[in-house]
Amino acid sequence: MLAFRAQPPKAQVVRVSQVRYNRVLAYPSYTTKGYIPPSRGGRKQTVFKKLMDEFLGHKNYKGQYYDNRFAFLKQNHSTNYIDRRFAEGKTKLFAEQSEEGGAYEERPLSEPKDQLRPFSLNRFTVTNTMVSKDMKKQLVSEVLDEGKPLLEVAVKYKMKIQRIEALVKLHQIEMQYQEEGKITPTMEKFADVMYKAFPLFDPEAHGENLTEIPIPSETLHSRFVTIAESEPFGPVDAAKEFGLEPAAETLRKVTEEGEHALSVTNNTKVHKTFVAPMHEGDRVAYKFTDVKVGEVGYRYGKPYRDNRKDRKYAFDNAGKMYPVLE
Amino acid sequence: MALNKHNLFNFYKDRAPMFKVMSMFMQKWDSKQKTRGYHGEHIPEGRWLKLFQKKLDGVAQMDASLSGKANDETPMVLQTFAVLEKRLDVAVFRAMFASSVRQARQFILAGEVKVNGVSIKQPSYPLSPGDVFSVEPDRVLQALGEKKPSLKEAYKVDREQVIQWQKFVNRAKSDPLKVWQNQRSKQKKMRETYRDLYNPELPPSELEDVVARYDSRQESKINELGKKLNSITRNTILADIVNTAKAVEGEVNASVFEPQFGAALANKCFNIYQMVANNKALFEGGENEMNEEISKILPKYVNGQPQGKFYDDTKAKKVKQALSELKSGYLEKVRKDHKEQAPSEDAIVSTWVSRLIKHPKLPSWSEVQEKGAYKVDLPWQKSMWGLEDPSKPYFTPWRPRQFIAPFAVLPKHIEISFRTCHAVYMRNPVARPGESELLKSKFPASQAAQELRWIQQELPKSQWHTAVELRARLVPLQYILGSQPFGDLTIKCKPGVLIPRNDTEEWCEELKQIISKCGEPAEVVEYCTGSGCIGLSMATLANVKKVTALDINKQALALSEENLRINSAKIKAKVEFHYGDLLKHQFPKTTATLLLSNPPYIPREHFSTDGGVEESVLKYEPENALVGNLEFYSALCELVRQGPIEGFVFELGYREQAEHTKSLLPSWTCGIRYDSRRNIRNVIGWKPSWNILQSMCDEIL
Repeated sequence: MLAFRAQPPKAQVVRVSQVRYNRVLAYPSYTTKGYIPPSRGGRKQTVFKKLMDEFLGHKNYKGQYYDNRFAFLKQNHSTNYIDRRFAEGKTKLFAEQSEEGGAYEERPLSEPKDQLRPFSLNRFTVTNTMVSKDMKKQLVSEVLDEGKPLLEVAVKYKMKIQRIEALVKLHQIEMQYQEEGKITPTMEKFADVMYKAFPLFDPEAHGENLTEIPIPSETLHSRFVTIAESEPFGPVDAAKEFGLEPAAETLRKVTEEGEHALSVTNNTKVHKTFVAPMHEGDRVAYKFTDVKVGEVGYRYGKPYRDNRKDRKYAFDNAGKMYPVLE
Repeated sequence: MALNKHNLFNFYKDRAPMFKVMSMFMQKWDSKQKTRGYHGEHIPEGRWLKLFQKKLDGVAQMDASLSGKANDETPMVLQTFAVLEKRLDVAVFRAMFASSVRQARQFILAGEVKVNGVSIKQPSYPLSPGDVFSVEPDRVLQALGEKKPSLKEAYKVDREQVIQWQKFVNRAKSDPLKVWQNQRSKQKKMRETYRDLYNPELPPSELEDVVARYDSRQESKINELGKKLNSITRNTILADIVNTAKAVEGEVNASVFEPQFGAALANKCFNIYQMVANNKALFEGGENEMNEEISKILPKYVNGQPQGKFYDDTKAKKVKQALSELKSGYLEKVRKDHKEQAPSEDAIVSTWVSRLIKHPKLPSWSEVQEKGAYKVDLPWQKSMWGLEDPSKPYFTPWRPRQFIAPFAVLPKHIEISFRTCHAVYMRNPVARPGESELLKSKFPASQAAQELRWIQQELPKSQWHTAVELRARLVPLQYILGSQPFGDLTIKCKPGVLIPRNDTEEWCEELKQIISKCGEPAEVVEYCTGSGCIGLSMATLANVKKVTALDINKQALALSEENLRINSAKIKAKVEFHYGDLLKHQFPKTTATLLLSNPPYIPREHFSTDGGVEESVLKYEPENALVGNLEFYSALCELVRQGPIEGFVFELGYREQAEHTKSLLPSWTCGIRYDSRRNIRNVIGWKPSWNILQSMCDEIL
């Protein structure tokens, strides 16, 4: 057997693996792979680790990356996002002295909204803005003290009604916390730092569009209709064609009842209940509620698929999850 | 995505994917890998596919046409992951109450998160609009705050700090001015560099600095003043007057004394000068003689008795009195001057240096370990580094952790109160023109689109790459997705064959109910079947024995065969598809008594965008399945007369088509059916055996 193995193969097969796609490791565009750094302190160092260290900059003995501009939150109501100003290795705060050629020029942003875009690759993601303390105070007093209708306040501040409601609600919680003395100086400091780290809401620049309605799913499909040449055909006719209510009606619902008003069908069932009259010697009163068989309890013989993957769950008032009987 | 430096670097170096050099599958795979790693990576794939909702939420802006601007694109594809945003764990992370979704999960599982005041322990709890959720403030401070150092870490830092401090004090003591200036310029530079940034290590700002310095300076100034005031006596004042007058060449007048005594006291000085001007011992002798003379005028008193020689005449008494008056005025002036006068830099530096004290040596690590604590008293830090309050789970005094700035994005659908660590979930995130309401996705829309496709997986792989371009060219969505629901069937669509319409579905469902109610066995024939939808939906009924369907289009017949295969589980009747040209009166040999048809019924003259037909329909749907008029109804009536037909239902679009049918079949009872949108939709005819069809009619012809 051994002798047989020792013989060289008669026909040599050369296997060439088919290369369809050369996977390039995700090196940053501003640098090439470069040399593989020597191990440091007995620990192997990779190219990516080296590049990351270069990006992060020096760390002092307190663990602070004092030289990296992204390590710090802004405190002048502006953002500190990675954008074209600081791309391509321009992340250092102290670069002016260390690099020859002196200070690098900050490339200006092309439009003011760019400041609100955290991810340069995705221009659709935009950060929200912070409502200033003064504006919040004024807004809350207009709603709570002066009792102005929400719609009027919404139009004045160019802010959706839901946001105004939320601001008022959070203000009430803040007042309650303050009364109870639950707000510690540390929490104040945290809130202050976060408050200053975001741009402030300016109704002119960041005002919300108050005429937004959810896109009805019906309009995502094509429909065709034949009408006479002289027959007028406008948006309301189109709505009829789709079997939808006019957009103005939808907008009214959205502004008055909130967006969820459209999706929520009236599911709250009112069950008939009565309390049976008590007789002498009864210690408890019996309350009877009309329910449909199958809706309550477990009906014998009904398939009960508790091992199903997409079982429905609901939460009771105590926040406990329970499987919904179907 | 956690808020940490590793993610930041990966995000920083990330570039848009090179879709151009990738095959379609690579694009999908790559996008799926990246976007899933970012959105809900803690959710297993199977679970995610269950969660995924096909319907993506977007909003339309009603004033878009009024603004007159070009409407921005609505990034619907970015909504792919919107369903995840309802989850409590994701919402807690978005509200910046946790540094990652996984941390948010931990907080929830530990019972630190409340929704509407009730502690919820399910990370998947679905939030609904209007819900208020809150996180225990200590947890939030921990999540967004610097990491709490261990005792050893704190000790290491403090040991280094103390060493640096001792060195600094040594340097300052040896060369105060230089160190002072270095320190000042260094602090100035720091303040300049970290302008507008929150750096907890930054020395207090210039203003606070000045205030602190000023206070310490005041103290030294008061001491200095005390010394100065003690040194002033009547004797020194008189000496000063004499010396000043001596120094003047020529006439002496009041203005001579102004520099030292001020304008207010100059006259008094001059009076005194005039009183003593004749005293030669004062003015002509040397300094000793002058001092002797002065002590004669103003002798020292011991126990109320003047010492040595002294003048006791009225003149000397007058001089004494004048000097006493002058002294009180002069002391007042000196005090005032001293207050206004700034101390010299040297004075500041010397007080600064005198206050620098070396820190006592820190105990050894083993001692610290035993005790569990040590004392620090540095000018800027009065307790252990980061362990001011060791009971807290975060660095104390609190400071934000590093590298959260690039990730700090305020969500649009959640309103946050950082003071109380509460937030309101206002609505589910939506896409609007030019903006995706949340999706904090860092990926471009193209990548999200690829992920969306990965999920939908409704097309054969070979067609993926053209799908998006196709839709951009107005190809109906059903052709791209490849299928359309029809009743409880899924009907496959292909270009060249008419897409089943809702209108057809509506009357088919109605007819199905009628047939199943009557319960008698029936046989159905259908002309112009297209995708086979009508015939197949009839074949799902238990009492339909056989369905024969015909079409002129062979492509349609192939598709209908395929649809039969797809839906074979639901089909109960025998189904046959045949080729047949209606206009050439090619009729099948059948015993069926019910004829159904959805022939082409849009007149040629209406088949244009002006006629109300959508562009995508004009461009991509088969013309021969749509355009036609009375000729088809004539042919169908011919078939009715020839065959064993006893009932029929035809779809149509115009009243004249119904009337035409009735005129060709005078012996039949015919009716018209309107659809739910009150448009004329069907003509129905029957003989007594199919009387049940009458219930579908809205109007009898």
